[in-house]
Amino acid sequence: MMSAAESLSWSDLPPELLGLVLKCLPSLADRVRLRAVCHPWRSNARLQTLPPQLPWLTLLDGTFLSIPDGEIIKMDVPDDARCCGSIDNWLFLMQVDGGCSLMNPFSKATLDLPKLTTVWRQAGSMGADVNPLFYKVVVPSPLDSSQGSLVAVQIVDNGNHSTVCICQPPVVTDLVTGMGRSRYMYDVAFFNGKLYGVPFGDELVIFEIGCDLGSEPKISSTDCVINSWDVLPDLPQSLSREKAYMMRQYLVECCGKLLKVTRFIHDDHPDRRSLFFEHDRTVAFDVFEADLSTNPGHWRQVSKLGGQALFIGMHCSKSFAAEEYSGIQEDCIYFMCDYPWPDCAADPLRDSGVYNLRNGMITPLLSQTAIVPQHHVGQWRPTWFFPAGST
Amino acid sequence: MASAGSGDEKAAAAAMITLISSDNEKFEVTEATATLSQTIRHMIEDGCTDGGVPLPNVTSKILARVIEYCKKHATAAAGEEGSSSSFSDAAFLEVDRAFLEELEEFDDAFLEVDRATLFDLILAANYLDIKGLLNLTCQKVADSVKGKTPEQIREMYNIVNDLTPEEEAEIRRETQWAFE
Repeated sequence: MMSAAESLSWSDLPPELLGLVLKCLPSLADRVRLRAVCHPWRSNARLQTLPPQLPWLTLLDGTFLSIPDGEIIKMDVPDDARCCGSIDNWLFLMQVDGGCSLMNPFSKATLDLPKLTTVWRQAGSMGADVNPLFYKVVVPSPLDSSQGSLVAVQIVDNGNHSTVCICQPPVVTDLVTGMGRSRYMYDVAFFNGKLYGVPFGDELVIFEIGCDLGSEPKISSTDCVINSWDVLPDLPQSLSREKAYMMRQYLVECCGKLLKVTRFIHDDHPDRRSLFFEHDRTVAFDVFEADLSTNPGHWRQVSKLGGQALFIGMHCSKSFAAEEYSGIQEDCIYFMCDYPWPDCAADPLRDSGVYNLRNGMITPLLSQTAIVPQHHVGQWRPTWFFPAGST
Repeated sequence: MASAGSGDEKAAAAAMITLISSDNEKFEVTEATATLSQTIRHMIEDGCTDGGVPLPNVTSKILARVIEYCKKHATAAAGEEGSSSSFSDAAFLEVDRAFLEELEEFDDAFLEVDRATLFDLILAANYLDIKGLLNLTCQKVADSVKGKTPEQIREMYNIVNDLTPEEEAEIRRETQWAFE
């Protein structure tokens, strides 16, 4: 009897076995290319349920860096648009003329947003020298291109003031320039359908979004829901009390909990006249869970993430079950240089890494075998992008 | 007559099974080696291995390789079990590490085969339901295509491009980014 295998070729690889090979390819680009080899592979690959693809980091020149394998990917994005943020597999784009939109570069679906800078300038009494510094776009539920979905945007200007903008694309329905406690805010995030913000200090504020008679969503009130700690946090053990640290904070939903991630950055260069931010290095993180079971609630420090990995950045933060990805480590925080840097230091991996919350160790974002990209200069902002749904 | 308890297990471990390839070659293997294959394990449990196990989907050339893999991994598994009781924790870890390293070296060398053999090994591992071998061989394919273009993959695996011009156009349109 002749072996069945003798008459078969690689294109006859049974679908479930092709699936096993695809599962060993965490990079989306590799999966896409494998599916483009021959007709049977193309149709059989569609039958497979695969784990999510590895995340990408946007580079300043408008390309994407796949983590941790280091592949550089170019996507078709309009030339006159720069990426100023992201939500999952959508890019927040800003045109040269100020036009704003959210675009899914795979499906090319687009959701038009108002010209945020114009709206912001018209609404406030900002001086001519005050300009928006960065934007964070957040949504209460996964984005689709249908009109009428709620989108909130945090605009931080160069005076560090925060403005929260509520949009129902393509229009702005409300815009609140922070007063008092919410004037200076590190980050905003939706959690269980509610918009939260983390101001400088110990607080957590909630923006109640209600619909007025015209059914346009507006911020009806801003309340403080946390203003204390469970146990007053100390500096992380690895940090010296003799030194000064810059602190950044991020809000991220993780397994049904709202987490506040504190990042400690140290300028370790002896020459203080060195370039602004040039020698800043992240040295530690602390993570706190918002306990909202009491009123007011409080922050409780956590030392593990329950197998999750956090991707944090001022333009997008997200958590995942690490085991779903091959090559992503659990209980780790993935970070990059999301604060401003001088143009001359365009190393995309500057002050980036993977912080292990269990042992405090920081390892590089890219695997040892990856080629580290050099000098990507441009106008894009660094943010996480989670590719999905390409074919 | 075998006595009850551990005597039975020892007898079972030493029992030999005959595997018969598609080209009618016979291979004598221990039950411990054979049962790395879930397919054969089930046959043994069902008591239908007397007179040998015919494997009409596996040639003698491939079966010899598969048995080589199973022997090595069955020995490693037995070695680990044995060592756990007779060494201190630290010594055990040391032995464990050495075993794993040796096994890794074996696996690497084992995978140094031509593409046709690799394909047959995948099919055999799937048919015989040997999870470790299946993962190993699929990982090998995945590693070999990382960063490669479809054309390079076709060349490597001797695959004819049978995509229609429409499909090619569709791929380019949807996923141009992956080909630049």
